[in-house]
Amino acid sequence: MKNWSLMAQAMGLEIPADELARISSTLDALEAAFRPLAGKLDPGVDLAATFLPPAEITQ
Amino acid sequence: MTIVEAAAALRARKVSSVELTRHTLAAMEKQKALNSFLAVTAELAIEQAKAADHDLKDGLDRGPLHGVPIALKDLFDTAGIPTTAGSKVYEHRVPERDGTVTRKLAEAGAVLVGKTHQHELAYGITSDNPHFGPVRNPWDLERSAGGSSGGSGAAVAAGLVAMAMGTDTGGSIRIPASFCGCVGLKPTYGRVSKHGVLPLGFSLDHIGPLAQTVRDVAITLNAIAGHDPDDITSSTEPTVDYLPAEAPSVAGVRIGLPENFFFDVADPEVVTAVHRMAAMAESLGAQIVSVRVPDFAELNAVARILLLCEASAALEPHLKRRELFGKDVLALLDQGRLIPATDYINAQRLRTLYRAQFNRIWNNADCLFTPATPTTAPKLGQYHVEIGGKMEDVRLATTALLRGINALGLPALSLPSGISKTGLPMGLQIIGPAFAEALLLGVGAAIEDERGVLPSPPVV
Repeated sequence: MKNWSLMAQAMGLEIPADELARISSTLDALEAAFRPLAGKLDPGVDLAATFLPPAEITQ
Repeated sequence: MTIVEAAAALRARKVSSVELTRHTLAAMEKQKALNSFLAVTAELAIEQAKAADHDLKDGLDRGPLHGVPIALKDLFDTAGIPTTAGSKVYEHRVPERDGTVTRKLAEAGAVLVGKTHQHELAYGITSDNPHFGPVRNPWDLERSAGGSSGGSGAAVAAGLVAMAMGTDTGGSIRIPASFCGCVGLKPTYGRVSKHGVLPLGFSLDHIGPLAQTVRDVAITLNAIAGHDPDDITSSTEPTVDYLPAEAPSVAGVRIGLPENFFFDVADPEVVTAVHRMAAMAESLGAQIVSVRVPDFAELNAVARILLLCEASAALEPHLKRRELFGKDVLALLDQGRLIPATDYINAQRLRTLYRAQFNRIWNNADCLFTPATPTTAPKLGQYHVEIGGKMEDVRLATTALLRGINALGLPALSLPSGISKTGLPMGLQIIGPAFAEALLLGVGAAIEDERGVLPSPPVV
């Protein structure tokens, strides 16, 4: 599992320790669900949200 | 009174818009215990109602919403009227311009009576707001109205207004519709403009109405749908007339019942109610088919990554002032800041895969029937709920059948499937292919007609 406290520190996020402790298990669970999915991605899969060519942008 | 009933009464001169509006404002005052409004726009409402009466008298008829009192969730920009998202962050925010939906509803002659209460920043499903108190459910004041559009759901279910606008980023229209016993539509992504609506999840936010009937939802969609050059994500797909026929037919419509996920973790009574609605549709000529859906738990994980990152990005400028946020919202915003950009990008790539997988369902079914929420409304302050003998987190369980649909951008309608043994509404969700709103509303209206009128909440 990731060390969320070290990550927060490295990113310069000022999250109090008790609040960080409270969200760590949720983040761990999400990480456990998401990591295997991301690991299976074929390199050819593009983003669902893509940059639109300028001609298609109306504003 | 529904929009259809109000429109008929106004044209038959049985009531004026001013009378309707005064009656609505009095009812709102009487039902203050629901805490469903953050702001009441009485002066503006009377002014709009007078204009509506004047126009009707002069033969200028703007359509079925003309002169009908409605409300907007407090995320919708209203010129000169505070738009706070139920937050301290935007407490003093007063937009200079109306948002597109606000403007379209005004052009359709609707009378704005107030801004509805909601979960703080639309980031949650209880509408138990730490700054402005909880919205209360008209079926039981000790229970949650759902969220984030809880004020809209409560106000509509209590009959205060015929329609109130909501937003849905992970179920925020369909949850209050299910918990409060009204109808809510999350249209296809891009069908209704997001311009002038405070964002939460840029690629997940959907705008839609909550109303007492399917036809009232359809009438509202007719007024607000369509391309908007002010919204870069707005679709150019042509609109149609969304109002179902007087006797809508479901003959030949293939209704898919998912054989995996959607009925696995849901209260048996809720499951039975959905099956009863499917049987009802079948008796009207629909064809029931069993379908296997892509892994929805995986899709929910992807959708959560997207929302956590997008919401934290949207609110990043305010995060230095932690005291402005409620605890639950702050916890979500902190989570979003700890997710790496690579995960967000891979979530967007996974979304591409799930969208393709889910689209294959429509080869075998025209729409899906599922529960809207797996349970009835939980009590305010309840964090866990027992489903099938197992304790589940209320927030995750309540969004489990909904959140993934936001990542897919598909339209979904929530309508009451019945009243539980404990006297609380249960919800049916009808999901369809992109831009199939007319089909969903037609099927929903057929079900609603056959089901008959449900009892009113005890608070009314």
